[in-house]
Amino acid sequence: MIDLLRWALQRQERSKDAARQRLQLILVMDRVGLAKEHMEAMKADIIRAVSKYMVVDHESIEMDMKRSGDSLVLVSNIQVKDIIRAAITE
Amino acid sequence: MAGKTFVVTSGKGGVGKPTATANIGAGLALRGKRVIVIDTDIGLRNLDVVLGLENRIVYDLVDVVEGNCKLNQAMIRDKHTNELYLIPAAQTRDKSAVKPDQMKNLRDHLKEEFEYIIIDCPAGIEQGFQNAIAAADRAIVVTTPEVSAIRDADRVIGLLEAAELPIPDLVINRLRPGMIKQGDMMDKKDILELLSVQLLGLVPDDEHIIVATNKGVPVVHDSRSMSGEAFRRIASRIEGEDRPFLNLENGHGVFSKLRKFVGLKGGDFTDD
Ligand SMILES: Nc1ncnc2c1ncn2[C@@H]1O[C@H](COP(=O)(O)OP(=O)(O)OP(=O)(O)O)[C@@H](O)[C@H]1O
Repeated sequence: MIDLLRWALQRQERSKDAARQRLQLILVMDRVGLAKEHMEAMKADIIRAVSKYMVVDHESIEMDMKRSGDSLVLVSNIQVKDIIRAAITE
Repeated sequence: MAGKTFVVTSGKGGVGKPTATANIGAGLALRGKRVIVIDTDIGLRNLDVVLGLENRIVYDLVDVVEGNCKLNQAMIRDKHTNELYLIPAAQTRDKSAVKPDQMKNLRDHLKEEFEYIIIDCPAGIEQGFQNAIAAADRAIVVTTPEVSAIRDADRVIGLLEAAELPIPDLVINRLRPGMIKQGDMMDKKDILELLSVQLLGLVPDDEHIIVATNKGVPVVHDSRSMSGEAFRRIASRIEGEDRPFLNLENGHGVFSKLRKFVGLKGGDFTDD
C-alpha cells in the first residue's frame, strides 16, 4: 500500500520540466535572433573549412537555424561540384 | 563619499520590481547606510506608494533634471528610517523627459552624499530602460519562476551585457515552496542553469508583502515575515556578507505531508 502511494506520488506530472525544456529552446532562439549578424561570419568560416576538401558552389549556399521538434538545428545546403583528391590522400 | 549605483530591472512588468527596490533600499537603510532610491518610471510612478510617501511629493525627477527645483527639494525623507530618501518619478510627463546624460549627472551629485543609489527601472526595454541603466555601476535583475518572466530577464541580461555592465545579480521573487516541492514550479537551480547571472536572493510569495504595501511600510521592517527576512539577507549580501539563502524548496502542501508520511524528502522552512 505504502509502495503504491509512493509510486503514485512520484510519477505525478511535473509541469516545471515542461517550463524548463520550453525555456531552453526559447532562450536559444531569442539569442540566435539577436546574433543573426554573426551568421554571415559563421557562413564564411564554414565555407572556408569545407573548401579545403570539396569544390562547392558559393552562390547556392543556404544556411539557417531551424527548430526541429525539441531541438535547434543548423541546416545548411551546400552544392558540391567536385572533391579535392589531394585533401583525401593527404 | 563614493556611493554605489544599482539599477533594478526586469524586462517584464508585474514581477515586483518596485517592491524589490523599496525593500532593498529600506533594508540597507536599516543597516545604517545612507540610501537614495530613484523612481524612473515616468508616467507610472509607484515606488512612492510602496514606501508610503505619496503624500509628501512636491517635486520629482523631471523637475530636478530640468532645474525647476534644487536637488534636495526633490528628495523625500522616509518615515521609518532616517537614512532613506526617495526621488519620485514625474506623473504627467513621458519617458523622453529624462536623458541618459542627465541621469549620469544626477548620479555624480548623489554619489557624494549617499552610500547607495538605487534606480528603479521602468518595465520594457525602450528608452526608459536605457535612461535608467545609463547611470548604473551594477544591475539587479528581478524575475519570477515563470516562462515569460525568465525569457524577458534573459533579454535584459543581454542588453546589460551589451551596455558593458558587470554580470547582473538575480532576485527570484514569488517562489512557492509547495509548488516547487510538487514539481510545478522551477526552482533556484533550474533558473540559474538558464540565465547567466549570479544569485542575490530568493523571495517567497508572501501575503505579508500585500499587507505591507497596503500600509505603505516595506515588508523588510516586519521582523516575523519570511519575505522581510529574504530582503534583509539581500541587503546584507549587497554589503558583502555571506548569508545562506532561505530554503524555499520544501513545501507544506498535502502532497509534501503525504510524501513525508511515506518516507520521501520533506521539511520545514530552513536555510538552504
Ligand atoms: N513576493 C511577493 N509575494 C506576494 N505579492 C507580491 C510579491 N512581490 C510582489 N507582490 C505583489 O505583486 C504586485 C506587483 O508588484 P510591484 O508593484 O512591486 O511590481 P510590478 O508590478 O512588477 O511593477 P512594474 O511593472 O512597474 O515593474 C504588487 O501588488 C505586490 O504587492
